[in-house]
Amino acid sequence: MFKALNEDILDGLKKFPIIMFISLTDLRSKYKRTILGPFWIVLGLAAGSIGLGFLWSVLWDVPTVEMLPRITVGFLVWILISAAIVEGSNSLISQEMVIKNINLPFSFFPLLSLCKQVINFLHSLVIILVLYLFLPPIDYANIIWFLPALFLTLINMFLLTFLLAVLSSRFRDIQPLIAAIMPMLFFLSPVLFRIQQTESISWIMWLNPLTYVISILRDPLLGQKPEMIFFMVMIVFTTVLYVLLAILIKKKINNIVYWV
Amino acid sequence: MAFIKLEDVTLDIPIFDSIERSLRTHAINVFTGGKILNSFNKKMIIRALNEVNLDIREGDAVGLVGPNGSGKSSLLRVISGIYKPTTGSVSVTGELRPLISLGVGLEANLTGIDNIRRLGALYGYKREIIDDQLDQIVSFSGLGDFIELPVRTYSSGMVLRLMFSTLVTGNPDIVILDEFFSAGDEDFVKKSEKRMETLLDNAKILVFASHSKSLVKNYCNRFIRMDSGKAIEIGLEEV
Repeated sequence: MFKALNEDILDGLKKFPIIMFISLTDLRSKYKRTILGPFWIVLGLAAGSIGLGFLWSVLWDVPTVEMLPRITVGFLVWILISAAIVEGSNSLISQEMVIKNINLPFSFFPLLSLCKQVINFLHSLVIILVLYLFLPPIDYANIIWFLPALFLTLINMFLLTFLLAVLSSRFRDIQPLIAAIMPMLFFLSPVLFRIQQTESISWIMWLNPLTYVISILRDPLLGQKPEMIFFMVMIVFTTVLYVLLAILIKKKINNIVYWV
Repeated sequence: MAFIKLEDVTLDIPIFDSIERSLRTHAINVFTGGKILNSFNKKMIIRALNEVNLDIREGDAVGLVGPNGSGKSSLLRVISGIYKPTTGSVSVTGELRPLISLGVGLEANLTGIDNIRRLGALYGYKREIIDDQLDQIVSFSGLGDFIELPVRTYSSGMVLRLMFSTLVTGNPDIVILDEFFSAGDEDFVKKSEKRMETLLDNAKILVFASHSKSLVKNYCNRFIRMDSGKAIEIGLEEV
């Protein structure tokens, strides 16, 4: 049952140097003739996240020292996740011409899309380093948890966007639907507040899968040890995605080229 | 030993229109018990290839002729592994380079040089091959100083030069070319003619679809006429 999917993913991973190369040339092409290049994104995110952090701490009357890192890091993580999902679910449709002309594994395209988002995210880590200069994390040792969290998140995001990309090539309403519900999911994930603050409606947060993704990425960057149960939820979620995608690919792999 | 073998290949291509593709019609289907959907949702299927048998061996330069929509591009895509046959089997041995649509894989804002590397990457060349042969690709393309300009400034003939030069680098076993090849100017067509001869001297395969009878006659030694999905082998004088 998993053979078709595994082969496709393996072929895609073998092309990782190519994916890396194309991501970088795309980035260069996008920022050609600009001086700051990709650091324009960083600048925009820094303005957005730090501004939000200050504003929110004033509105909630919480010490900035406490609120600023939480909001800033949460916001950066949110941008990674939401951009990865929105772009990734479009990754097959937008590469229609390449798919119809060059024989590449389908996993190549969601991988490429994810790779670009990760490169953007790595740039934005500069913001977090600057933040550490002024507001050091609670415990530097816990930052190490960021690595397994990122690894798990990337696998999860890859499978999720691959699945969404295939489905949205067949049903053209899915992609705009995803783009439309993203802002709502932002307010239903614990970026701007803690889950405990939402009291009676906190069950909605727990139902939002992005809550777990955001938590395991953000907490280590704040120097907190992430909740192990969140890792468990993520592993289960990832496994479910893998099985669903395997079934879809096994049945429909030869049709995707006509759908895009 | 490069070869292409197609046995009883039939290819059905489903065509989706916007109504059929949307979730809304599926939702309407649920609410109306399928009445509306059934009238809208006749999935159209085009039989692009109909029991095609082909046996292409090293040294063959196959010219595909036939009117629009007769299945030339579909056949090229099946050989390239992009379309999988609905029934029948395709086996291909050898390194294959398809050049089916003009401009695919290029990034308009990057220079010609950067795009050679990019295309090379997409076609799966090793990095070193491109590095080694870069000068050769540039000189074969005949683009001169334009190679340092962004590809968005190129004419379609120049894009063709860039793509074709990159495609034939490193002596691939099998080259697949579609119609648009006629976009090159006379000078380049002559130059590529020599390159094609060299390609064939190395006992490789060329499959070339074109409306231009003279081009097909020049390059090819076998001729196939596509007619509503059927492939019929014809002689030089019938082209």
